[in-house]
Amino acid sequence: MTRERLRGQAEEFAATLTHVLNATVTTGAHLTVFILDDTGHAIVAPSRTDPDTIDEVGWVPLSTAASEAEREAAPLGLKIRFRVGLDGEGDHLQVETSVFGLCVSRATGFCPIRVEYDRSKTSKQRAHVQVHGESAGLAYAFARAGQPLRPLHKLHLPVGGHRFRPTLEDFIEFLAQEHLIPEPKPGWQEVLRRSRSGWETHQVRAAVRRHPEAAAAQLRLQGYTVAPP
Amino acid sequence: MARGGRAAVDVVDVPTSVVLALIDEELAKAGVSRERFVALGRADELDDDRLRDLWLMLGPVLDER
Repeated sequence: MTRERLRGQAEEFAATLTHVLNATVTTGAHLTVFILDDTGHAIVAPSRTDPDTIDEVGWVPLSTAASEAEREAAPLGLKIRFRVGLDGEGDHLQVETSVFGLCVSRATGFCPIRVEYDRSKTSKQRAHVQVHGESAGLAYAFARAGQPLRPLHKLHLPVGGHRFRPTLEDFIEFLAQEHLIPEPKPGWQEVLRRSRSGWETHQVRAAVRRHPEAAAAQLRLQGYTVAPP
Repeated sequence: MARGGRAAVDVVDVPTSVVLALIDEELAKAGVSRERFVALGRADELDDDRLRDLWLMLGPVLDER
């Protein structure tokens, strides 16, 4: 039953992501759900024509060209991978880890910008951005702190924490605003707005499940009558 | 691997043996042992992006064994 629930909810999640991608930055993207045996985990990632290729670098070409050959030759791509599972109660899908990034090489999967999330991480930022690059200012800061220089990409820049981390929609919007998507599809902003709204509602409901007393208190402040179960 | 799912989404059941074979293949390419991979993954010290992805996505299959 739990396995079937995971399968169904992961499938729905993958369908939503597929729609967002194909309505904004690409055409013909296809996300696959890989159920990892009876571990309680599944991976949602792009696949090519053969969904058995779980080891393929998850690459979505940033191209809306009608021709598949043109899209395949796109110089930039989006890396997207999610590991999902059910929450502690076994009722709702939750993202356990995610990676998305702007990639410049399909062969190596190299992404100069990556957004990572790891729900179980405790020693570093659960949601963080990593950027490959050079920073003289950062080198100076490490020197002033009496520390050896750490490359920019080794820093985990915090972004929003567990509940309010950047979404795929935010990342696509960022790429479009910075002109890193050659030709976003007409109406892409509205697609992102609607999808983001759905995500925010999902997150608020999850927050309420975890903090029912705070939610009830706020609703009472707003004039609602709330009775405990 | 069994396959099913909606028209727009494929769903593939991946046996643990396939996941382990895939992990071993990637680790062999990188010249890293399973033990080292798990240690680096737990410590968040994996620099190679491919290995980071591998850990983030498939790490629990090793870590929970």
